Amino acid sequence: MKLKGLTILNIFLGITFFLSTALAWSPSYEESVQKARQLKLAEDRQWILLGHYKKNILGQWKSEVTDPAYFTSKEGRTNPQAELESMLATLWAPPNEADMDQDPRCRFPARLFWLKKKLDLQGPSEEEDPILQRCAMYKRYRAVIKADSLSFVFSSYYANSPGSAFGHTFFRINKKAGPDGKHSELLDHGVGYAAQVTVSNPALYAIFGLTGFFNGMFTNLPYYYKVREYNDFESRDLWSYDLNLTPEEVDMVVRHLWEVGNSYFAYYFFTQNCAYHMLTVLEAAAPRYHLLDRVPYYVIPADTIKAINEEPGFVVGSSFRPSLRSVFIQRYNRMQPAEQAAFRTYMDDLDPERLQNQVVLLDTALDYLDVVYPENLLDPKSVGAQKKNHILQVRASIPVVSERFNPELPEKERPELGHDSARISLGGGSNYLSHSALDLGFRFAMHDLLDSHLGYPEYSQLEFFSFRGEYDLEDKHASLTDFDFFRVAAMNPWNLFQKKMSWRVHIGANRFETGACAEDCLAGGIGFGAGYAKHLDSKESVLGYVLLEGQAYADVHFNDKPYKLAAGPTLGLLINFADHFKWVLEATYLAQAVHAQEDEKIFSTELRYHVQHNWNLGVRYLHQTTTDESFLSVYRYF
Amino acid sequence: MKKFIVVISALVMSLVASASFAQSRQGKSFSREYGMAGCGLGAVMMGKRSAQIFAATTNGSSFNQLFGISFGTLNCTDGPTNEVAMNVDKFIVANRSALTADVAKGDGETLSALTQVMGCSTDSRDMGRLLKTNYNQIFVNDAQPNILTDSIITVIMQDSQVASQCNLG
Repeated sequence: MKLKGLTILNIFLGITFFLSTALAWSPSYEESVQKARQLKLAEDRQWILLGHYKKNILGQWKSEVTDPAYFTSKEGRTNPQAELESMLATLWAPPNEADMDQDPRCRFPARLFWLKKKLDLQGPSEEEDPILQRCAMYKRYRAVIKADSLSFVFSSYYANSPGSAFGHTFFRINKKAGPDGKHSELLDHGVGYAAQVTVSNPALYAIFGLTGFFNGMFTNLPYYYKVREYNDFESRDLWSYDLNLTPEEVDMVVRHLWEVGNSYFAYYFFTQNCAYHMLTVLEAAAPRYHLLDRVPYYVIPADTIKAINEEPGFVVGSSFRPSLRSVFIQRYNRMQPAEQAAFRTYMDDLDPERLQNQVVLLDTALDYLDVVYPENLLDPKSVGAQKKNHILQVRASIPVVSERFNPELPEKERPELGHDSARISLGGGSNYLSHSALDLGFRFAMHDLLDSHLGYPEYSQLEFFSFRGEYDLEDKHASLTDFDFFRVAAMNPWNLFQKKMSWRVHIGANRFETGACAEDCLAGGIGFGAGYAKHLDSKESVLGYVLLEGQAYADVHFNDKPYKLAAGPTLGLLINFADHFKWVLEATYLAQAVHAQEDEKIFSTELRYHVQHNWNLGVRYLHQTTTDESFLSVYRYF
Repeated sequence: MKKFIVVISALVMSLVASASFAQSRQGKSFSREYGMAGCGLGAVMMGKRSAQIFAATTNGSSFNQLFGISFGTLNCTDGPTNEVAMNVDKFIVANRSALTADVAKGDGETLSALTQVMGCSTDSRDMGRLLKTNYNQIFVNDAQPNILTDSIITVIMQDSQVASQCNLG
């Protein structure tokens, strides 16, 4: 039988290559596995972190990575030992000629690097390794990223969106400076984790986001995309925190991001969300830090900022990028009164003549137009963009060069100063029956209008799962008085820069007393209000508001009908004393739809003293048509 | 939301349409074999929902890209030809608004970043002065990114000092 010469040559080359790779690493696979077992490497903290393994309720390992391609072993997802041995074996396997980028050596540069180091494997360096030199995509990724250090970035809340107070976190991978010493943050890389949304129905969106039906993936983009998206389009400030990581740890982050970046997880809004995975990646690369221990089972992005700042030595610097809106407001506030007056006339009709060709007015107008017309960023043909083009041409024709704008960092808004999001309270006083009583409160998250607003939006309220219970000391009777599934409010002070309505809504169960019910009833329902708010003083510490409120509740014990419908006005005052005291006063009249239920006249007031970080003292009084209650409580945040 | 999608679709279609022609004008021009359709902010933010309370929290996006292609998306292809023009096109697509303002003012962070993307060692104020003087030549209304790139590069080549600090061939 004759074999063609070329076939013999191919076989010869194949065998040589196979032998060369087989012999490339020493000691042998068998010896390495033995060593790994002796060293108990499969139980090593870093191996577990790199595999994103967590123990489930039954005490068994399961990786949070749901992509089967993340594992080299069929049992990889549930068996760290099997995965380790299978991953190790890939070092001696023939290369994946069909698709080199999918070869485990190209696909898993973090875990393999770690195994080689821990087992002290002898072989070619990465620069000399013929297989690794063929990892085209991975090499390109490394060449573009050029990582020097890492920063943790937090995008803060934006106006009229209490939900945004949760915040969003991502990384910035800072590049090394170029040969001429130049570095532009815009050209660094932003790496974030987010849900891959596949539905447009809001209800499904919520359900899927809560139950892990979306895949969560990492994305990697030039940082300028993040700046445009958060600062410019959404008008959110960006706070960044520089992390203390050794060059090896930074290298490991970059390697590990390649591993998880090309895989996917299940996205859970409350637990395994953007903030959670920033921490899992950081710990996997720098296991000396114990960041996940500092956050509870549920992870609120704003809380992770506090966590990283509390980890000793982890944060070594911070910087701030203001939103377009913040820049505009700062520009306006720095202008002379005459300039401000001229600018206000421009704001009325957007007539460029009003800017009188003055550089400071033109520059402010450019930012103002982007705030008013955010679609400028996406569509150069929009109405706003055309107005802006005109201003740009005028500005370009004036030879003066603008100084770069140096924004002021708003110290009071530093997210790391915020109180912790869960809150518990204990108080004593007199209840609606005029009996002495104890009052207990618990709130899962996050912030109400009387809490200290350091690090939070001043006039936004966002609360999830808050309970209030009472223990009547005379009747020796405990009862649940309120349960709110959520309570949200956006009080938007009407001013030059913001002309928006204010609103609030809550869904839950509240106690109603005689007048509406034959006896007390704890009825489920919804309450909502809309209206206007405005500062009544020049220092902007007194906010007055008028709302039209409505409510709809259901309970079989209501008088006459099993439901309660009411509507009416609320007048309120929210006063901030020196950022240490908050005082609210409200008067409400609710006309009842059901004749047998009495109209309600409600007056309430609460004074809260921010004793120190995470401790408050409060006194409140409530008058409801015929009853009064007052309590003094201590509040603790954790 | 619908208006948003219409605007984005129009933008994407106009970008695709323009990128498929090799534009030639007076001065330097570069032929491009790639499309910029997926590079813009619209593609990145297309997943943003109008239900703000959720948008702010999951930050969900339907943006899908290979993690390794760091300067673009699956639709924003990387071609080996004319790397400088390609990088500048991509930068302009995403940063157009801020860049135009920086040039009109004569300096700024985005202009400085553009200078780096072009591989020029020029100080950003010198680059700013040059581009600002030629603002009207560069920023013709509705100019597509590749035309903007060509115009910028043409203006640079006309200034011997700045041209010598850049490696634009």
